[in-house]
Amino acid sequence: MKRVFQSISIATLTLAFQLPALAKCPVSDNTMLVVKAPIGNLQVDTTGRDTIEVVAGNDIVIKEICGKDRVEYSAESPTQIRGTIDWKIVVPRTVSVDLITFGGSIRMTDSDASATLRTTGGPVSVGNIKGKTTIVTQGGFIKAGNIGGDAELRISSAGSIEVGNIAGNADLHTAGGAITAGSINGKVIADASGGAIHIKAARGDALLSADPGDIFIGEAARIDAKTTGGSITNSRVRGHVKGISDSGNIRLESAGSWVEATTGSGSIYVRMNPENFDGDLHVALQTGVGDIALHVPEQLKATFDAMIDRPALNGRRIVSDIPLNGIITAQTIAPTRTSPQRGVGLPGMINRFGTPDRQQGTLNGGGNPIKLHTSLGKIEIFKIKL
Amino acid sequence: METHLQQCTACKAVFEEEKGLHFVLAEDAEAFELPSDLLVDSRRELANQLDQIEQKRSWWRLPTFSVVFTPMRLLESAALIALGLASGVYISNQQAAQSVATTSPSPTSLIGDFSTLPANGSVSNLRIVSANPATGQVELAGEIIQPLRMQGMMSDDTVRQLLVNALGDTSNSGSRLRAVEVLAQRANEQIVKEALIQALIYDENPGVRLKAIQGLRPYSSDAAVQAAIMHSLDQDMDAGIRVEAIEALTHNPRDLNLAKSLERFTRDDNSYVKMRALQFVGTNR
Repeated sequence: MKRVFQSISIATLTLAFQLPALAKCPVSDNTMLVVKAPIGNLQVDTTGRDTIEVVAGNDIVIKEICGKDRVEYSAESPTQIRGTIDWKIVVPRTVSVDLITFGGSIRMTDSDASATLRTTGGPVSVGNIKGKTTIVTQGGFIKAGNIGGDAELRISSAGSIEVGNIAGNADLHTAGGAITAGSINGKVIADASGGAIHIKAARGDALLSADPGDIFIGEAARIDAKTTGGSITNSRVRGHVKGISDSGNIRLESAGSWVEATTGSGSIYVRMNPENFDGDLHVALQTGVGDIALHVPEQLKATFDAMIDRPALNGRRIVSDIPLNGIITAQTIAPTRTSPQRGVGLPGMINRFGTPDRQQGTLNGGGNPIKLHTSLGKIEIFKIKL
Repeated sequence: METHLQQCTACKAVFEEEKGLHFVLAEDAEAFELPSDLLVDSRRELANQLDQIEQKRSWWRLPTFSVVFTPMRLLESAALIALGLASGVYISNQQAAQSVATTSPSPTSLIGDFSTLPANGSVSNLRIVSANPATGQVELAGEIIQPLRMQGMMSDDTVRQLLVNALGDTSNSGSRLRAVEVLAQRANEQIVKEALIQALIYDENPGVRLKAIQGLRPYSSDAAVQAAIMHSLDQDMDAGIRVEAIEALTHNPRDLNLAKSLERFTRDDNSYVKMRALQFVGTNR
C-alpha cells in the first residue's frame, strides 16, 4: 500500500513539472518567451497580464522552464497525430517572443516587444509589432501590420508578403509571390522570385529584384531595381536610379540624380528633377523596342546623343525641344577617297531610309552626357522649367 | 599492173583513154566551181516551194529546225519568242506572288500601296519582288514591326484569347505573371480554368503557379480542378505550392471521396501538409 502511495506521489510530481495541457509562468516586461513546438499551429494572444499561459492539444505534453528573463515551452513530437494541434499562448504584449513550430501556422495579435516567428511550413499572420521583427516560413504567406523596428520577412518557397509601415530597415524575400509594403523608414531590400514588388515609400536606399514581376516604389533615396519581366515605376527619387527590365516599361516621375535605365522591350519615361545641378546628372536610357521620353530642366548642362536604330518610315523619329543635328555615321556616308569600300549615295548625305537616325546636341554649352537609344521607337526630349 | 599493160595492148589502150579523161578533168577544175550562194538559194527556193505545198497541212504541226529564214519562218520564230517571253513573265510574276504569300509571317506584309504603312511602323527584312524601270512600278515585301496597344473587355473573346496566349508565352515570364493575375479573377470561365490548370501544372515559375492555384481555389470541387491541385500536392517541388494545394483542397470541410484520396498525405514529409490532411480525414470519418 505504501509502495502504491509512493508511486502515485512520484507520478504526480512528474506531471506537475510536465503540465500536459496547461502551463503558466509569471513574467516581467523584459522577459523573453521561447516556444519550440514539434508540430502545430501557434496562436498567440497578447492580452495576458503578468503571466504566460500555454495550452496545447491532448496529444502534446508541454515542458516548461520558468526563468526570470526567459520562459521556455517545448514538447516531444507526439507519436500519433489525430487532427489539428493548436498551441494557444496568452502573453502580455510587452513580452518579446521567439516562437518556432516544425509544421504549422503562426498567428499573433499586436505586440509592443520584439518578435521572432519561424515555421517549417504554414502561413504567418501578425498584427502590429513595435520591436524588431523576424518572420520566416518555408511555405505559406506572411501578413504583418506595422513594424516599429527592423523587419526581416522571409519565405523560402512560394508565398506572398504583405506588411504595413516599417520604422527600421526592411529585408523582404519570397521565392514565389508578391511583396507589398507600406512606408519604410530605413533602407529596403526586396527580392521576389515571381511576383510584383509594391513599396509605398523608402527613406533609405531601395534594392529591389523581381524575377519576374512589376516593381513600384513611391519614393526612395536611391534605387537599384531589376526585373526579368515587368515594369519599374517610381514617383520620386532623391538620388540615382539604376533600373533594368528584360521586358517592361520604366517610368521615373521625378529623378533627383543620374539615371541609368534599360529595358529589352517597353517605353522609358524620365522626368529629371535634381536639387543639385553640380552633381553627376548623366542619363543613359536604352530600350530594344519602345519609345523614350525625357524631360530635362532648362538649366541643365548636358550633351545629348539620341539614336534610333530602325526609325519609323512615316512617323516622327527624334523630337526635341533642344536643337539637335543629324550626324554622319560610317554606315551612312558615301564612298570617299579614304573609305572607298563603304556606303552608297552622294558624299555627305545621310541615307535616312532604313539606316539609324542619330542626332546630337548640347544644352547650356554641354556637360552631363545624355545618351538615349532605341532600336525601334521614337525619342522625345522636352525642356522644362522647375 | 605495169608489166601486164606492156604485154596487153588492148588493156593499155583503155588505160590511156581513162588517164586522158582524168587529166582533162583536173586541168579544168576551176571552170566547174559552184557559186557560194547557190546552195542557200537552192534551199530557199526549195523551202518556198515546200511552204506553198505545206499551207494545206494542219496548223498545229511542230516546227522543224532550219537555218533558212523565210518570211514565214521569221514570223513563226518571232511568234515563238514572244510566246516564250510572255510565259516567262507570267510564271515569274506568279512565283513572286506565291513567295510573298508564303514567306510573309503576317497580314502586315506590303500587299497594298505605300499609304497603308503605319506612321509608327518600321519595316524589316525588305525584299524587292519586282521592279520595272520603264514604268517605275516596284513591288516590295517585308514585315512591319509596329508597337501594339489596345484596350478591351475581359469578356471579349479576342482579349481573353490574347491573355491565355500570354499565359503560355514561355519566353516572357513577366507576361505570364501578369496574365495569370488577370485571368485568376475569371476562373469560372472554362477556357480560363483550363489555362490556369496548365499554368499550375507546367509553369516553371512558382509565382505563376501560386497565382494559378489561388485563382482555382474557389473551384476546387470541380473534378478537373481538384485533379490538378491534387497533382500539385503530390508532385510540386515547392513547399509553398503544396501548402496552398492542401489549403485549397480542404477548403470545403466535407468530402468523403477527397478524404480517401488525402489519406496518403497523412504521412507526408511536410508537417503542415500532414497535419491538414489528418484534420480533414478525421473530420470526414
